This record gives sequence, structure tokens and C-alpha cells, in this order.
Amino acid sequence: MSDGGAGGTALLRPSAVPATTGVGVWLRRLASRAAAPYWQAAPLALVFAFFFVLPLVVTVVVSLWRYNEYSITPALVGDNYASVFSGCLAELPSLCLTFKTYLSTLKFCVLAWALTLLLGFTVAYFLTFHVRSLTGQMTLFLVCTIPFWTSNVIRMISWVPLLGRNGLVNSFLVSAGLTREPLTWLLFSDFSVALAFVHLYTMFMIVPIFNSMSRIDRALLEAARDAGASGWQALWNVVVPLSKPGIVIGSIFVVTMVMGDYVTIGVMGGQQIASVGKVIQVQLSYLQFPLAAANAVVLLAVVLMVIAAMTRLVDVRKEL
Amino acid sequence: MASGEVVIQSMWSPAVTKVRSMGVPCIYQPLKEGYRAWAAGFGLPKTLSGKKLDAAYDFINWFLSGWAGAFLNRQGYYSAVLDTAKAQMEPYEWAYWMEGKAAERDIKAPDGTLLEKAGTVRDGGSFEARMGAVACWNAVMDQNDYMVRKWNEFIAA
Repeated sequence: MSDGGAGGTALLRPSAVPATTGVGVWLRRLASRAAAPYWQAAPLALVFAFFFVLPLVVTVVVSLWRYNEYSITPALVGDNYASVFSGCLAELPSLCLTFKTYLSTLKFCVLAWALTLLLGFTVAYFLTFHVRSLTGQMTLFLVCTIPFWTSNVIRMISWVPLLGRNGLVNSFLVSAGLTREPLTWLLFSDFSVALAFVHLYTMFMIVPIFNSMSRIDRALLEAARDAGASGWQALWNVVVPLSKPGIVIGSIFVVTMVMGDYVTIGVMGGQQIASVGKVIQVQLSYLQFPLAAANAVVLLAVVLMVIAAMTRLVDVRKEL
Repeated sequence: MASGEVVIQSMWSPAVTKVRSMGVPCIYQPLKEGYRAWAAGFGLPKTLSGKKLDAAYDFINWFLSGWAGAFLNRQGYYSAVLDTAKAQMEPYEWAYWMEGKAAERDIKAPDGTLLEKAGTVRDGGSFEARMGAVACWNAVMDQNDYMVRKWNEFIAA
């Protein structure tokens, strides 16, 4: 703490509050400069405690309760976790429900992550190194945000008239004679789900990567060229390592959002593609709150492990 | 359904009549396993008293007095008191919706749009034929946990 000295000087000053009583010491501590950061952090800490920590604790507690068709009762049992993983060992080598669902979710996670990273990195690279003027950068950046003016659901639904059996793409393909029958894999399929994820989440890759890239000293690129590096070598050995914090932050955004998603997979997958979020949603709709809570806790643990692995690759705090 | 993106679906009766009145050929396919049936009724909380209680009964009496029943029947549902609904329907409507007979005249939806041409027969037939083939009621079943799990497995398969 570099401001320890400042706190010391405040204490040396004479104060109206007598230092001998307990209350006086307390008041002085609260008013001292050393306490200022805590006061500044307090409002956000309270908001987090109430809207994040408390619900999380309630979820963990409820995941240990019992339930039946119409009520939930406080208890301390592992039944719900046993139910989440029931048959997972016995049914090997075929996959149990939970493993199958996680496999399907992870598949979309990897697809969405790879595609948004490729697109996001390319767009950010273009914005940073090819658009010279700040005005140009700002304008193009704002253009990227235009889709966010409408809601998530509207952006998904609008794919239906485009990709559907009677949609624009199919009617074009049929009328141009490229296919005889309308393509059915365009909508309510793995393809449409991956497409929607890329559409929805690429921006979350662009922003942090752009942020990291714009801090790269241009002199480094010139030095690389002077030292004889080709364009690709400079990209791989200079730009990519220095963009790592942005890449990791963007990846954390995309991975956490895709892992918990059930709306996109539901709407774009015709409600027939499995995801962990969907399992939780189905259980909630049949009032199996403790079981859904257990599933949510398991999902949280998996996502935290993925994030821990990613932050191990790059120390995001240090790089910022 | 109306946009042609969906070919098979579990649907409510008014949605089917709506799609049909838009000119999309959509049929209710009776299954050999039987029907899944829903029932809805009114319940009054015991906290009601005085004017509010009277008003609640007045509303229920009106609801069962025929007009609403005829409206529901024309959507393809069955009202709770069939006698009063029958009094509010034309004999040819009653024959089509309740007795499973071929329509003598064009059948209109509750909002007046053309639903079926004369001569058509209702999917599944008469009230007795349809309600006599109810295989399960839409309620929380004894095997609820098992069924929810099977549904999630079906989606993951």
C-alpha cells in the first residue's frame, strides 16, 4: 500500500475526538484516510453481496434440500447431486444424461469460441492497424454495435424468415436452381445455433482484443520488420502475445455465456438440442427447484474450472 | 406453423382454428394411444366475502350461462355446461362440433372468419369419441421425476 504514509500523517494531526475511549478510536479509524478505499468500495460490495453472493449461497443451500411434486423441504442431503450423476459410472462406456448434455454444450462452446475468436481477432486487427484515423476507428466501432440496438431475442428470431424452409436463402437457392429441395439444415440445427452464437457474441471478443491491441506500441511492429520478420511472423510473435489479455477476457465472456445459454439453443435449435441450461430450465418448469439448483452448482463448478485454466495461461491482472 | 417452418406440433385448439382460417391445411391427428386432455375451472379463495364474493359468483354464473360456452365450443374446446352452450349455437354448428357430423353449412370461427367448408367432418369426431379416448390428463403424475428425466434424455439423444 503506497498510501500508508498518508494515513500516518492524518493520525499525527490533533483531533477533536478523544483517542482514549473505544468509540473515539473507532470514529478516528473510520474517518482516517486508510479507511477511504473501503468506503469507496462499500457500495459496490453491498450490491454484489445482495445480488450475487446471497443468491449463490441460496442456490447452494437449496441444492441440498428435498422436494416432491408440490413442495420443497429444508434438508441436508446429497440426493440431488446423486440424481445429476445417476448412471454416469454404471452406464459407461455409453454416456449418461449429464455427460451427453455437457458434451453437447461443450461442442457449441468450442465452436462459438473458435469462430468468435477468429472473427473478433481479425476485426480488431483491422480496426487497430489498418484504420489510421481515430474518427475512422470510432465510426467502424459504432457500426459494430448497431446490432445491439435491438434485443437479443429479436436478433435471433430474425434468422427464421432468412434461414427457414420458406426463407429468403432457400427460396433464392431453389429459384437459382442450386438445390431442388429447400435445405433443412439451415434452421433449427447445430448450424443455426452456432451461427446465432457467433452473431450474438463476436462483439464480446472484438472489444477486449481491440482494447489490448490499441496499447501495442507501433514501434514494436517496425522493429520486428527491421529485424526481418515477415507479416505473419510479426503477427504471431508480436501482436498475438501482446493481445493475450484481451483474448483471454473475450474468451471468458464467450465461454461463460455459451455454457449457461438455453434461450439461443432453444430458439435456434427448435427446442430439440440439449444444453445444460435447458436441462435446468426444464427442471425449473416442473418445480424441481433443488435438482435444478444442484445442476446449477455443478455447472458453476465446471465453468469456474474452465476459467481457472484460461487465466492460468495468462495472468490477466498482471497484464492489465 | 402458419409460416411453414413447423410441420408437426402440439397445439391448442384456438391456434389450430386460427391457422386453418388463414387457409393453411392443418389437421388434429388423433393418436391410437389416445388423447392428452386438459381441464380448467374456477376456484374461489375462502378470503372472499361480501360484494366481492357475490361478484365472483355473478361472473361464474354469466360464464356458464351459454355465450362463453358457445364461444369456447366454436374454438374446439368443450364448455363445462353443454346445455346452455347448445342453446347459443345453431343446430348445424352443434352437429359439427359436438356430434361429429358433416357440416351442413360453412363453419365460421368465433370471430366470423370462414373455418370449414360445408361437408367437412371434425378431426377426431364427436364429443363422446374424443373425450372417450382420453389417455391421460395433464396433471403432475406420480412418475413426474422419471418423466422429466426421460424428456431431458429425449432432447439429448
